[in-house]
Amino acid sequence: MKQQSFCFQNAVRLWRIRLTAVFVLLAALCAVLILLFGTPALVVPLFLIPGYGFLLLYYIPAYFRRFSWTVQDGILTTASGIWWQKARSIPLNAVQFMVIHRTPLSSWLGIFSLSLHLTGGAVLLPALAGEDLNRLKGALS
Amino acid sequence: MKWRRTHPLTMIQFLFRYLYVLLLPVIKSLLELPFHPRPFSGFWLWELAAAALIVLLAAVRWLRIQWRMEPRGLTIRQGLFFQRETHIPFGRISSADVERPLWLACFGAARLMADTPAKSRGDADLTLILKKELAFSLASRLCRKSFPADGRRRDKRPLQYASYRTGILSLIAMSVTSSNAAAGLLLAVPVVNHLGQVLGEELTRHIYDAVDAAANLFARLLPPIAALLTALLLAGWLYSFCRTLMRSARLSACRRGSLVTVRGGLILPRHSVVSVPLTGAVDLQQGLVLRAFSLTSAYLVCSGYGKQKGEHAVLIPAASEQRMQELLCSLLPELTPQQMDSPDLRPVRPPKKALRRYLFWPVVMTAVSAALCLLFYRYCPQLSFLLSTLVMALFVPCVWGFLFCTLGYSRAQVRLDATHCVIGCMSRLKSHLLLVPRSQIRSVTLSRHPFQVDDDLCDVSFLLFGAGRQRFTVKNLSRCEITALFEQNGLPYDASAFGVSQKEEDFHAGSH
Repeated sequence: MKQQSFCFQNAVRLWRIRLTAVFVLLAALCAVLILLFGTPALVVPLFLIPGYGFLLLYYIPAYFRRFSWTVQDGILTTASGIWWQKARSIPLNAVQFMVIHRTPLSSWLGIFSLSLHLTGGAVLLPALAGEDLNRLKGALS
Repeated sequence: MKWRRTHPLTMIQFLFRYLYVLLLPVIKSLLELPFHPRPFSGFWLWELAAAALIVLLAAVRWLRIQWRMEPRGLTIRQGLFFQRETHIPFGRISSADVERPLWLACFGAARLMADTPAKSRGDADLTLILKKELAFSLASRLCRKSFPADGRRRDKRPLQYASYRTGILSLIAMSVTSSNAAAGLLLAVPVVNHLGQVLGEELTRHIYDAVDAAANLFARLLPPIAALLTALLLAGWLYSFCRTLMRSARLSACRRGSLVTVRGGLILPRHSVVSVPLTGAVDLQQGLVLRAFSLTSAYLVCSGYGKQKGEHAVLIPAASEQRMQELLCSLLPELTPQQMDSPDLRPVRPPKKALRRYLFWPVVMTAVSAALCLLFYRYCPQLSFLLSTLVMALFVPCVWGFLFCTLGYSRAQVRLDATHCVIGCMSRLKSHLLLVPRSQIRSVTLSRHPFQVDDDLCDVSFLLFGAGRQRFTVKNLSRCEITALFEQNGLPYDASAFGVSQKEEDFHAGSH
């Protein structure tokens, strides 16, 4: 069985919303720092804004573009990483149990994350659509 | 397949961390109000509001926990905003414990804790508070490989059945040797303080006064600081001993099919189900005291079993070697080589020249202790009355070290045949003899430090399924002998530390 579907746009949207929420909190904190310490605190936004732009426009889309997973002959293979690429092959019968993580926002977008617990650690699949999740759950059972 | 809720007492579990800090003081002040009316203050109202909010959140969290049995496994759903759904297939659970602490037993509830070989470091992989009968039946069902919908067995082979009940003397022997003064103190102090908060400060003061009285008694023989330390360590050891004895009293083990059920406990009964196919090894442990009486204790190396704080993964508390062999052959024949002294199990032991390496640290300790005593005598003549105490305090551990390292040398070994491996090593101040089926060995690694090169010795480390990250290392074995043993028996090993290419095989969890 080969699974190739992957909800790219919704996953990117989800992580952009999360990043923006964190950015807003940090921006509020910066504003407080500027009010308290004046001009020297302006250094913080000089790093914060480009960092936000980099993550929003390049890193998040690139990460999910490079992330993929397939299940074939009882082996789950994942590939991830932008500059340092990593591929993992996991026999499905090595998975001890799995945990599905969801929040109200991710449920609304139809995206879930799945962590597979093995004897040597855990593997995280950060974004799966609902259909893919059910198919993978069936394959693991 | 309906979603079911856990027992309402699950809410208490969420409230534990706030119990002594906020909830009990608020409840106490509410109960006192009719008898000692006082004007409402803003601070007290805030406390009341905070307590009410915490209780409300705990109730909402409990309402959000649901579980159900599916054809292929168990699914648990929990969480309010950050929701988690955990799915555990049948046959992946290596051990399931059912505990009935007093506060649950009063309401007919029990806590089910189950672990898989994934062995998370913190809590169990699965924790549910359920009705007592449901918890017991779920523990057995989870550990079985498959559970047909109609409940009938498909496998027609006769069920393996054996049982064992321990005697009081072997329990006392195990409790004496496995009690730890420091651990006892760590467990005892919070319990004493919490008792004081619940039952009144008088009780705490009485307990501390008892320790002071013991210290005063010892002060007739020892200097005051040593007397206080002795009293504290004795109190800690006594608490640990009583706790171990009560937790293991009436210990019995029963084998039925592929499950071993261990029951025990006096005031806090415990019921554990262990899956034999997912058990890594049987660990026969022996300290100096048990060695003196020719007794051994048997523990199970199984993910989750004995994981809780203050618990021991004990199967047989103490028995002679012959009796131990008989019990293990009846309870766990898959994990026990039929004849441990068989000539087929050719052992590799440390050579005679390795004895000095085993005794190295006790010799260093003795030399350092002697130097300290000499320096003390030379530069602190006004404290010469403390010298005898200092000598005893320093040299008793040295003698213990010599005896223990000699025991470790005599028990160190690796035996291998087609199906089993026997590993003898020292770890955590005890001598271990592990009986391991070959299929449960995750990896074997050979390593050596520069001081072993001349004598061509090496250390062999075994990683087992069910033991998590704990390695069992046999030190100072002859490299030629051990590599010949592994190659003759077809056991792959990793000797990359030697810089020589060796045959390797990835054992990974794939074989399970």
